Amino acid sequence: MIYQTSNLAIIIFLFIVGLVLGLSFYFARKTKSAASYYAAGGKIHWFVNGIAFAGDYLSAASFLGICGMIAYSGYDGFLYSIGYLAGWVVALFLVAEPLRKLGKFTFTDALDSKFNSKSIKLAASISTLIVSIFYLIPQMVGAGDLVVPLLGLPHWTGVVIVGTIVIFIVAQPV
Amino acid sequence: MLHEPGNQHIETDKAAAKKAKLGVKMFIIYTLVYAGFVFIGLTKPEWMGLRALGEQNLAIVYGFGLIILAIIMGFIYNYFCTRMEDKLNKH
Repeated sequence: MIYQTSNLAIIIFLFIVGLVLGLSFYFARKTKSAASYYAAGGKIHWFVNGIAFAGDYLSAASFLGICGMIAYSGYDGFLYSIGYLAGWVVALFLVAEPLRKLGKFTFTDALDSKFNSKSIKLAASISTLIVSIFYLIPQMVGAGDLVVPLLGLPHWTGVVIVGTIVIFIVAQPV
Repeated sequence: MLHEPGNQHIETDKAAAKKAKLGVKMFIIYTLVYAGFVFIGLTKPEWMGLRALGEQNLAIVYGFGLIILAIIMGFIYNYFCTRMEDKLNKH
């Protein structure tokens, strides 16, 4: 299918990207510690925090992946969305409270504070990176798939644009 | 910002142990319900096609039920945790 470049779509895309970058710059200046980086110092209202959680869950995988899987595989595709909620149950009932009690934000930090072992820290870091890579690949592919019909650009351009924006937001100096 | 391990000062929460225990109990309940779904899917997949509620088959009712149950259990967990915190951290 051939898609044509839409000026309006590009303007809206640039506006949203600019807004997200502006917000991240604004809040990055207020970030002074790991606690404020991970949890905004615990000062976020529960409703706003809930919206942030929803934003985390509504990723390319859920927007495009699940819809596509239901379209192609019917009910078998729907089964995957139940898996998402099962993961949320584990995080809520088993992980959240012990992590909060320890005063840690990441699984690696929690393991390190409990066992104080370099090997465990290394294993946790490597597994985090491996999981993140396999999570990122479909997200980036999804971003590229979105850019093709929205902006009329080649797939690889979408991957590069979205990847660069995300790296810039997360790794910007404070 | 220093790239040190994340640490935050947590005030002593007397309800922490009870909340963790409640979390484990609720997790076991959800796991059992979820296991039932998986078990039917593995051993008697034809049951999934049976009508369960109105025009909807068991697969849809059970599947959506699991999603709704997770949300309801989240609310219940929040309610009991808040109550425990209010009660045990009073003084």
